[in-house]
Amino acid sequence: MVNRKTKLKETLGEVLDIGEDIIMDLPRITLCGNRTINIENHKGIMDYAPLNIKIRVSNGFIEIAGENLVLKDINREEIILEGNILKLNFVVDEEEE
Amino acid sequence: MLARLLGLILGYCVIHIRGRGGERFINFAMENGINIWDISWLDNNIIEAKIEYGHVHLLPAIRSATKVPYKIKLKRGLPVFSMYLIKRRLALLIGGITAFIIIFWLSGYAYFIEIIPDEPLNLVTEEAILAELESAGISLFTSFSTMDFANAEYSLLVNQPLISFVNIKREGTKIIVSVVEKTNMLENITGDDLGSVWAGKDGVIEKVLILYGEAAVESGDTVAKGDLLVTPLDDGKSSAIVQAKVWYQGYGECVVSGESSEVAGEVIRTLTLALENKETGFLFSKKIDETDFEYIKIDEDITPIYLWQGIRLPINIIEEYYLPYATTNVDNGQAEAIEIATEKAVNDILSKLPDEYMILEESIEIISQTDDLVRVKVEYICLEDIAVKNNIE
Repeated sequence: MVNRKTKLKETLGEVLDIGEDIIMDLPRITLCGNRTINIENHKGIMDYAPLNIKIRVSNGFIEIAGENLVLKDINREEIILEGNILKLNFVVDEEEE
Repeated sequence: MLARLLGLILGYCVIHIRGRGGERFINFAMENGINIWDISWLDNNIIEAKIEYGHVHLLPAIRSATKVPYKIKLKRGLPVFSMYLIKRRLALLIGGITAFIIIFWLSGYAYFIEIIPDEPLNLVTEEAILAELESAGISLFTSFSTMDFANAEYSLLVNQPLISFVNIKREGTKIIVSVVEKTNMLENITGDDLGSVWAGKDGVIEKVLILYGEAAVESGDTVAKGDLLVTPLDDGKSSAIVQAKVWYQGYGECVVSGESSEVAGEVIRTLTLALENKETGFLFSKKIDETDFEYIKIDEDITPIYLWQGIRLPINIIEEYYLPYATTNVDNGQAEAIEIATEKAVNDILSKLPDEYMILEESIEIISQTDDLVRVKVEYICLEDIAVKNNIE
C-alpha cells in the first residue's frame, strides 16, 4: 500500500505538472544501449564488486550486473557507469510498497 | 575528452584501494567533494581510481575515516610535470638565484670613475681630483653604501679652490664627477690686481690659494672684514682665492592672529614746496591719498632753491618717499606662522649671499612664540671666497 505521504506527492506533482523525479526525489536513470548508464539523484554506492554494483536511490537500490564495469564519474548528483551491462534490477524498499 | 584534458591540466593521481569496503572509500570521497573518476576493479582485491592532484592531501583523512587502505601508484598532469621540472632543474634554479644575488651584491660597488669637466681641465689635474675623492672615501672597488657624495663635494671645493662647481652622482656602477674650473686666474692677473688682497667679510679661513703674492693668513684663522689676506710681490700685484666660513643670520616674523601690516606697493615720491622753517607754509604740496593704504615715510630730501650768485630763496623743495602698507586681519595657525616667518628669514639671508657659495650648515631658531606673534632666526654657515682687492667699501 502506497503510504499517504507518497500519494500526496504524486497528486501534487500531477496538479503542478512537475516531474516525479523532482517532487518525489526519484532517481532518473538513462541507459545508452547496454554500454552506459547514467543515474541522477542517487544516494551513494551500496556495494561495489567486480561483476556487480548496487547503487542506493531514494526508494530502494539499483543492482547492475555486467563485465568490465567502470565508474567513469561519480559525484553528489550523478553516477556514470560504463561497461558491458548484462542485467539491471530495480529493488524497491518494502516500506515504499 | 574535455574531462581528460581538464584532468591533465589540473593533474591527477592513480590510486589503488585495497581490501573490502571500496564503496565506503568512494562514497566518503564523493560526499566530501573530492574529484574521483575512472573507478574500476583491477583484480578481486584492488580498485583503481583517479583523484584530482589538488585533492591528494585529503586521502589520509579518508583512510582514517573509512579504515580502507590505499596506495598512490601514479601521478600525472601539468602540476606534476612542473614539479618534476623544478626538481630536475633545482641546481639550475639555485645557480640562477645565486648568480642574481652575486650580481646584485657586486652592483653595489664602484668600478669606474669618470671626471667630466665643463671645459678641458687647466688648473686642476684629474689625478688631484681622484686623490681628493679617494681621501673623501670615493675610490674604485668601494661600496656605494660607504660613500658620502655631499661630503666629497665639500672636500673637493675646500681643498681645490680652483674648482668652482662639482657634482658627484652615480650611474649604475660608475661615478660621474662633473667639474667646473674657475676662470684661468693666473692669466687674468693684470694691472687691476695691484695692491693687497683683503677680507671682504668676517669669517674663518678654510683654504688659501695664492695665485700671486704672499699669504698673510692661513687655514683656521679668524678674520674680520678689512683684514689683510695677501700682500703683493715687488711688482705690487697680488691675487688669491680665500675660502672661508661665513656666518649669516636672517630674521623673520609673522603675526599669528590679529592685524598684520604688509608692504602693498612700490615707493611713492611726493613733492612739496614749502617756506623755510614754516612747516605749515606750504606753497604747493602734492600729498598722497591715504584712503586705501597706510603710508610710512622712509626717506626725505630737502633741496633749497637758489637764485643767481648764491642768493638763496627762503623756499625749499621737499621730496618725500613713502611705502604703502596694507593692514589686514590674519588668523594663521602657529605652524603656518612659523613657516612664513622662517621663509622670511631665509629670504633675508638669501638677499645677503654672494653669487657663489656653498651652505655648510643651517639652523632655525624660534626666538619667541606667543599667541599673537612668532619670531624666527635662521643662521647659515656658508663657504665662499671672501678675497677682495683694495676697494673695500
